[in-house]
Amino acid sequence: MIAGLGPLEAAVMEVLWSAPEPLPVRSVMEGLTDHQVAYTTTSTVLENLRRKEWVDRERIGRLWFYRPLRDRSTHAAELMNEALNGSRDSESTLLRFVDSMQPEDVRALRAMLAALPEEEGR
Amino acid sequence: MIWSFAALCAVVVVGLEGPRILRNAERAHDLDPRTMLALWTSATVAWVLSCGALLAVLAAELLGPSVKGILAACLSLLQALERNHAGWGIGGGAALILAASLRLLWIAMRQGRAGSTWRRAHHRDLLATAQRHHLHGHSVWLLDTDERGAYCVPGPRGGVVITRGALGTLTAAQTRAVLAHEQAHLRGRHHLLVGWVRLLDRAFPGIPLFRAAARDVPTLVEWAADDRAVRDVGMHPLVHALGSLAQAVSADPRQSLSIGGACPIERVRRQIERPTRNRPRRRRTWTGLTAALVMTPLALTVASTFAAALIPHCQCAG
Repeated sequence: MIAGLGPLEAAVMEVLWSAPEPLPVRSVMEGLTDHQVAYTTTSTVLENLRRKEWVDRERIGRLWFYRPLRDRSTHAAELMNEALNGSRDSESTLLRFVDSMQPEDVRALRAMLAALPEEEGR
Repeated sequence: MIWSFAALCAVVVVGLEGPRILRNAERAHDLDPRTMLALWTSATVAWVLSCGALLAVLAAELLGPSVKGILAACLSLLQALERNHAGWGIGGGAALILAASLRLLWIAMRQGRAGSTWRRAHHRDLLATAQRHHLHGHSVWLLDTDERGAYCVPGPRGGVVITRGALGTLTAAQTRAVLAHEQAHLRGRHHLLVGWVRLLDRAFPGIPLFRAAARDVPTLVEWAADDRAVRDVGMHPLVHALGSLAQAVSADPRQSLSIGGACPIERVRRQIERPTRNRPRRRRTWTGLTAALVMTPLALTVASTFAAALIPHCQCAG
């Protein structure tokens, strides 16, 4: 189970994801343009994210620099797989477009479709 | 009493043979998925209602001369058992029905709460991770990942979720087919149908009608959504979208073949080999006939209720 993100945590992750290199707390705070947050709040959120293993930090000089541990796309994939293969709760709730299949069934399906034109001939 | 006995027989017959009646009608007369969904739903609802009503009526017949007896039976079951030894069987049955109703209610509440908790959590995750986009007139959640996938989450905060990877593989027409398919699920409230039959199967495992409904309804909702997409966009985009998004199960042990849903090969074959539909009148006749058959328990139960209410109890005895 991936620990979910609160709105502020998500915003902090957004800032870290869009930055090319690790950021110190102050830069993260300045990146949070939609939120008015204090330096200490930002620092707390970053520490929470580190505890949840979303970010890591390293010390350069006198400052801690934070970098994301998983990128946005990995997280999105995790979120989807969690939803699709996760619990019985999701099973009775969501409807997926196509179920996963055994590899030989996928081959059979593709073979069946190979003979069909891509688009409607009309 | 004769009506109640007939109703009881009908309940047993539909409970055991209902699946065969419904599946035969579907196969032999090419009934479309939407009709079949309506038939399965009405069969299960009618069965549940008849079971509940039947025992109340039986109790009323033995314990009191009028419909008031139903209330009396519920309220003073123990008293009645003391008074009338013939009531033991009925009393046991009524207790069974009470226990069954409580179990159904309990599991429904648990399933409902778990579902809504999950939906809330998922919505929070989507807010944090996905972006809202407009695609071919549909509002969707776009997940920024190379993995291919598409699904829908029902409810006021739900919607269609699709990944960037999926959009990269699908043509515009195929994307429209996927969106039409998912919208059909949402508009048809398919999750409620699937949830209802799974609830029954979970609450009362072993009843053939419920077991069969829980197996067939998830497949039928996929077929119904496929048919909708084909009507909107055409057959080829849909089947090729199925081919593009179909994936083999990975080695990840958490990922398993989902038990519900329809086999993608079967879905494609259904669309490709779609028979020319003719003889609509005959299909309508069979739909009506099958509906009448699966509704028989309820009809007989209603009849027995009237019989119990209209024919004074004491006259029968004396």
